[in-house]
Amino acid sequence: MAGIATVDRRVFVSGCAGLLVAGALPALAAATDHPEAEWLVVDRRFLSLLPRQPLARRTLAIDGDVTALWRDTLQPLWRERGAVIAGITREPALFCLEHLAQGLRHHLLRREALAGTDAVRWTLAPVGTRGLA
Amino acid sequence: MRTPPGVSPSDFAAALAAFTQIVGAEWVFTSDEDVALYRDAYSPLAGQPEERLASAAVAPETTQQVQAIVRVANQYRIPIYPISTGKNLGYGGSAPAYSGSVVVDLKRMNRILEVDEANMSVLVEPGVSYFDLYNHLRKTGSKLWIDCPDPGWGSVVGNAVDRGGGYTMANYRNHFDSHCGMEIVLPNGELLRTGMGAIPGARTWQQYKSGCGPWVDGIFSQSNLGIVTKMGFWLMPEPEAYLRCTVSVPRYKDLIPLVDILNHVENARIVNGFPDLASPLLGYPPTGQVQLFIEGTSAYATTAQQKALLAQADQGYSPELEAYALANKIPYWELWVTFYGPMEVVEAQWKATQRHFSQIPGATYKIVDQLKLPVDPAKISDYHEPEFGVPSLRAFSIGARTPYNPTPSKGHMWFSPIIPRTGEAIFEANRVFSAAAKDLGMPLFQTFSMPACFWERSFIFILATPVTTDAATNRKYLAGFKKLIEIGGQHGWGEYRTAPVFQESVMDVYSFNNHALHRLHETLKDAIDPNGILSAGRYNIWPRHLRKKAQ
Ligand SMILES: Cc1cc2nc3c(=O)[nH]c(=O)nc-3n(C[C@H](O)[C@H](O)[C@H](O)COP(=O)(O)OP(=O)(O)OC[C@H]3O[C@@H](n4cnc5c(N)ncnc54)[C@H](O)[C@@H]3O)c2cc1C
Repeated sequence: MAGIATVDRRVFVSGCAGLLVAGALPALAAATDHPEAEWLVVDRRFLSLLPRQPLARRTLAIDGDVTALWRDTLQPLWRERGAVIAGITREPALFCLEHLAQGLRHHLLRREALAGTDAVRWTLAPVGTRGLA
Repeated sequence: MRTPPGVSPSDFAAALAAFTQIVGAEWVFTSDEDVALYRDAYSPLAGQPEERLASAAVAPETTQQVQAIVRVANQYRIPIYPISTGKNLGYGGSAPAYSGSVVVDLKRMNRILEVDEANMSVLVEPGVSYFDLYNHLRKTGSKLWIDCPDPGWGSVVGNAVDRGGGYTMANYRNHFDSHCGMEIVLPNGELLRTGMGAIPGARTWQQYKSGCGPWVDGIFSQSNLGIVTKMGFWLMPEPEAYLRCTVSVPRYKDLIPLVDILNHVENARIVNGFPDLASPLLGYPPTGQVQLFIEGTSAYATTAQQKALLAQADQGYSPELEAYALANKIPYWELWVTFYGPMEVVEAQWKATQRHFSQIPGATYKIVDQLKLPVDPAKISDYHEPEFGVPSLRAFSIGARTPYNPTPSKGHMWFSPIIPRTGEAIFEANRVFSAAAKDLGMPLFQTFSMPACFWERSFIFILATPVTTDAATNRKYLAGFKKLIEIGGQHGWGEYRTAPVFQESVMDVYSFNNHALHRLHETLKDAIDPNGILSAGRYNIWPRHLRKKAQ
């Protein structure tokens, strides 16, 4: 089975500090996700939007396609229990994740297009989780 | 909360209370937030009064619960609409054909009931997705492959009953054809098993399809005559090797013998994998490379001179364009052929294939991939995963914004008529539909369009009609889509499958002998579902009490 960690076109990182590039927008990630988010999903194209300092939460990088992320991480996790996940991806990835989440009683808590990019930042949470003001 | 049309609020409340008794309060959905999840994400009528919307949803876990729900629906005349995983995007999503229906969501019925390794078959419930089945087979060390559509999140049963298709060997690609045995809850709540399943204790339910007497399975596909609660499928034994090759031909008219010979080699089982038609000259990639194409890394990127010639060409042809192709050795057409089997066999099949195509002067041949199977999991995303029986969601990246696709749509409606499997028909469909699309102001053609080769005896001429965020544009495309259906019908072409919003127009085309087929569908509906509770309007089959209103 193709796991995230072994698929070369899809990068798996736990903590992405080592992959960060110059030109980061430090303010962004601070406001990126729900405080309870356990994971941050980032499209590799937008790694530069993250701050340089290591993030508190675990980070998964994808190359646009969410297949392995879903199959190997999110589906087993959400089948077992509810969990808040935040992300910065393109629309199609969020579209897929939102629909997959619905099947396991999670929903989109927040979405926001990031000006000047085709990125969207979002939070998926178990149904019933309260949103940020 | 909406109430189904024609149902009193008190009856609806009583029915919901009865559903709650059957499945538990947790599995009856009535809040706006929950019911909104059953909207069609690709609806061209989103937010409009005509958008098809559910009134509530109920999610049973067992066949007995499905039977009980159906009985309650009969008692209170509640319209219900079963879905398996409800991912029918481009063909209606999970929204009901008749607004106000209660969706019967079968996702919780997700048991893989039997994998018979020796018989190479499986028996599954409707909530089993391609991902689920794939994961199960890999986890248990099975040597069986699934055949899946591009998005792997759909249901093995749901896709088959809507007569979807996939990408491996011909005899597995047609998902309804590759089923063997069904269990169905009839609209009166009775349980039926088809084929050998009708014999109590038979061990051949997944071995012999038709049993004895009239074979009824077909009437439970694309219909509203029963809720499928179990379905058997034949699976493909893992092949030893995979060989993917191209046959390229230099001239415009070569498409005609190219398709004729393909039909022979495919139906003689010399080629046994998914064939794919492409055009390097016109910049039209094969299905498996669409992703690379839109990301701009494909070898099919056209030069400035080629683009200028293409802009002048009429439906992909001009003498100058052909001369350019010949001078620069750019093939006009390219056929991708795939072989599965032992290495020595696929090599021999490829040799025989080349011999057949050598009738076309100037044909050239190339091996693209020659692999011993299974593919290293770390490498699978280098290929079109469904051709290896591996489910994926990569197809959705097609909607992403790229230089090739600067204004991605919000979704699409698949226009997918069946046309003859000939080169002449491809030319004619391009001529007819590109002229119509131009008149109707629909952005469906860049240069030329190639059909999909899912089925061995016909083409599906698939065009993705965009759904936008602008209601007026959507209305224009919706009307245009209906016009295309009508024009197709005038040429003897009809859709193989369509979204509820087009089902009336599509079924109207199937009009032989004053709509004898439609009249039979209605006769069956009246006999099997006299109260008309099940999936009213699906494929334009309305129960008697709604027929007038529907028209
Ligand atoms: C980018 C993209 C690519 C696609 N590629 C393909 C492809 O390669 N091949 C393909 O076939 N499709 C394709 N599709 C279309 C669609 O996404 C799939 O066919 C999908 O599998 C259908 O959804 P589902 O399996 O969840 O079925 P569902 O949505 O659950 O079912 C479809 C319909 O069948 C009926 N139904 C379902 N289950 C039952 C039941 N148990 N009893 C009675 N009636 C039932 C319902 O009316 C339902 O609306 C594609 C779509 C997109 C957006």
